[in-house]
Amino acid sequence: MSKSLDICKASLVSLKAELLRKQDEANKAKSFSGDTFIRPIPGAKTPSCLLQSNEGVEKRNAKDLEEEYTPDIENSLKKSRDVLAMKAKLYDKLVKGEMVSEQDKTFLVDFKQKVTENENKTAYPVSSTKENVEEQEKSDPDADLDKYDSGADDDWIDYTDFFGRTRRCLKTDLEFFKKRDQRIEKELEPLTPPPNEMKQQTPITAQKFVKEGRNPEEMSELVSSDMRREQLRLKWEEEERKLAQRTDIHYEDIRFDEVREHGVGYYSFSTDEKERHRQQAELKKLREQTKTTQISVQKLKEKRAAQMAVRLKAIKRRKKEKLGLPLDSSSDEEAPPPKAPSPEIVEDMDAERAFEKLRKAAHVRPWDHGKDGLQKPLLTQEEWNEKQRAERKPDFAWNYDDGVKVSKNRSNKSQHVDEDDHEDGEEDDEDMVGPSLDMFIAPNNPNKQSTITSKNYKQFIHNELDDEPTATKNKPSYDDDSDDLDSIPLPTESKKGAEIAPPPTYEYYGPSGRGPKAQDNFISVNEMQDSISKGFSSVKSMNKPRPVRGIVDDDNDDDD
Amino acid sequence: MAAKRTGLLTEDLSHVEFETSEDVEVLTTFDNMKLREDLVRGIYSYGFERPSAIQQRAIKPMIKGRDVIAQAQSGTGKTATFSIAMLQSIDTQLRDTQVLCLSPTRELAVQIQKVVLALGDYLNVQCHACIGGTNLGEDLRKLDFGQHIVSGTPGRVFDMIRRKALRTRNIKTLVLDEADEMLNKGFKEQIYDVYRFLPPATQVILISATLPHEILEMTNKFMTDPIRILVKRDELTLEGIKQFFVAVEREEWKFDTLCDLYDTLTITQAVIFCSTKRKVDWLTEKMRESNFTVSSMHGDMPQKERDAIMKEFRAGQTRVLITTDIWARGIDVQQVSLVINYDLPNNRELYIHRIGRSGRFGRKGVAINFVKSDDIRILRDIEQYYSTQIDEMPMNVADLI
Repeated sequence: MSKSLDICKASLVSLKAELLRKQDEANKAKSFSGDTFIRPIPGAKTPSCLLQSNEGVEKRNAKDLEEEYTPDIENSLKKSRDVLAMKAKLYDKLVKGEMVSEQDKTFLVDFKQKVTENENKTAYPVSSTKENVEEQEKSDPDADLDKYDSGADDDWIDYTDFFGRTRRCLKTDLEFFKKRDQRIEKELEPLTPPPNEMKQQTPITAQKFVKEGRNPEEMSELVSSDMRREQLRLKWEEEERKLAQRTDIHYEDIRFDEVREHGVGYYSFSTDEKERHRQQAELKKLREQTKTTQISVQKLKEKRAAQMAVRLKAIKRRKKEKLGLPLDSSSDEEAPPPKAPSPEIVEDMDAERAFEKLRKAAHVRPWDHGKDGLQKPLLTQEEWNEKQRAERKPDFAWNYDDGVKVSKNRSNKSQHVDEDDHEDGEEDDEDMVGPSLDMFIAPNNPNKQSTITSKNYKQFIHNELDDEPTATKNKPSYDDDSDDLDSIPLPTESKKGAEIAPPPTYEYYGPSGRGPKAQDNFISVNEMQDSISKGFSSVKSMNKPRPVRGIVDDDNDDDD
Repeated sequence: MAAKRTGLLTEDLSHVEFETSEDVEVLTTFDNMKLREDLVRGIYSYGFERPSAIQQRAIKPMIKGRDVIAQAQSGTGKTATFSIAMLQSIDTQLRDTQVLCLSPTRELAVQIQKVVLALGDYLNVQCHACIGGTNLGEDLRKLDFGQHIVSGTPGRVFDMIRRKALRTRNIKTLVLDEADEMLNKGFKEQIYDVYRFLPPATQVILISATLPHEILEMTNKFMTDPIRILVKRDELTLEGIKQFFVAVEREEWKFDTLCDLYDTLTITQAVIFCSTKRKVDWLTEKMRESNFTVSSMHGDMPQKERDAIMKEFRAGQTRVLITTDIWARGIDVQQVSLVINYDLPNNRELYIHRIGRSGRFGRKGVAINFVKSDDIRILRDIEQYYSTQIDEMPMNVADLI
């Protein structure tokens, strides 16, 4: 028997469990006509010792669970809700006149009168009719949960509504709420928002929720990206239409929602012109304020430092006096603060810009040929020479086809360079000024030559033109010409040097971009004449017919 | 005479190696440049803190009025360089065009206008984008209001000059952005036409990431003794842009590869380059058929559509853009971190420009080239020419973006 009992223990337990389950089901069926989503309040405890637990354990457990899943905010909300519920209860009691009698003076409201007033009416909605409950559900669905806690447990049941919330209501009202849920379900069906939408909604009433779901902002999150883009396009078009009418356009007007990181100091000005001006003025004011405070703080600091210095000095002096040392006469006066160099630099920049202009004007770019604004005097030395030579009558011109020279230039460039070794360094500036000067100063007067092609002058040409790679790169184009020129002024070939004699006048040097040169190294008329006469004499002595003819012609033109 | 000279010139220059000018000063902060206070404010608020290498060197000579040829790697602030210099040298009281800036594409011209306005926000500068495909009357009206700086494309600008709507009398500076493109066969004539209307000896500024020799050779026709700031070709690719290739056996496989890569594309924003407009249309259609969200843009679209697509892409509303070489040069969208060469570009310069759409101003970027077996040779040539490295694409390419 005992053996069989042992075996049966397990089955006994399962039997008991089965019994309990059945009992449970029966209980459910009794109270709620079989609706699955409604659960009863755990009512009369089953007598089973196995399932019996201490009173309130389950409640506590439920509370723990609730706390586990709800965030802190909800807890605090619940707290305040409880407090409110307490207050409501108290108020109810007062209205009913239960607590009024003794402490009349503690309340500002005359509850006694209220009691009498309400006697005929149905008092404050304690006994909940359908409408009342619904109203309360609308206004504050959660507060009423606890409000009726004190009522008899049997009349109240919990149920889960459409939104998954656990609700409690009177058994009699259950049908009504079920109907309402069904209605809501129907209303929501066409929209069926995604679940996260529902979470974002605060659980007010169902009707309200439906209404809010249709406001435009909510909609924009629900529509497809295509729709959103379309909306943006329309917005941008509208913005552009507005821009078309405005005279002033600024950065903010044409941003068109671009994603871009700006600096920390970025200030998004208003697109409204007036507002923008106001903002800019305000910024300016703020900046000035900052500056003035900075200055005043600085001054204060300086003042303090000065005072400190004076005091220190006095202390030192006293100490020295005490020790009987000789007084130091050296007073370390502060050096005046260095002046801001800004004006100088600005000037410098202006000067540089002006210089650039001149320099550019001196050179005619091929694409600029024939433009209106082009000024004739603004020719480079070579171009001027070229021009003059082109204008010269061929009879009197330099014979470029002179067999010996041309062949020399064309065929033996290297040889040519070798010959002119001494002026390799500055071939190019030489050919610009060289010819005439060398000529006039003549080989027998080397001192004057040095004065004319003074260092100043050479440097000027060098720094600004020749040191720069482009300048040298430009040079090759004039190779043929410059070679011709190079060969002309050579002091070694003094005879040939006399062959051309462009006049050393203003016209020759011209008011070209190289103005400074003319000023810096201006040769006095006396000097000129002197050298010319010397040149003549040397030429005469040489007695070379052809070049002389050329020279005389040219000189006569200009000098007479 | 001139013709003879230029003829000689080209002959001579073909053997010359152009180098950066020797006496270029380097100013390492914006404060050192003695710029207008309001301009410096604009610079800092736009997000520049320290000048980039090109900005350190080129701004000063530009302000001085020198002609400048400036080359720098993609996305290192070239547009800002000349914008800053121009904003420094214009007279804001004179409401007339003082600077003319020409670019090869309308989108680029609009972008330059934006940069100028952003940097000059505190100067209240006026800059107009004078581009084709827009309302003529609006252009006329805007120019009539008076603009300090005009940024445009050659065709419309020339039209405006001829109509005397764009007065050239006060123009001090001509800027050619993407200069090598502007002086190429297609554009050179138009540039010449515009140039002929400018005052003689106008300051000319050339800017580009790539400046082939033949372009440098011709510069003396319209520039006087320019300052050159150049970059050697082996330093032209940026360290920050990693370059890869995916070898495919057949053209059709490119599409499958692209689909596989789609998730990577959408990490930030991506640009896909095709060789022709038709191919852009085809690929867009095919991608959409496969339910991938892409947008596309090319030169045959109406300007309004191009404009809207640009705005959407800049606003981050679209993440993948399929396009042609119209997008290869200069366009700056910070968020682009991936470039795909669905087809290889037609020349080496375009390769540099295309991959330069990613990795803007010090950001990281990735370029992926789809190559068929016979394209690999071309890619190797590019790799060698720029002494860079183009490896086979690794599996973890997404980590590099």
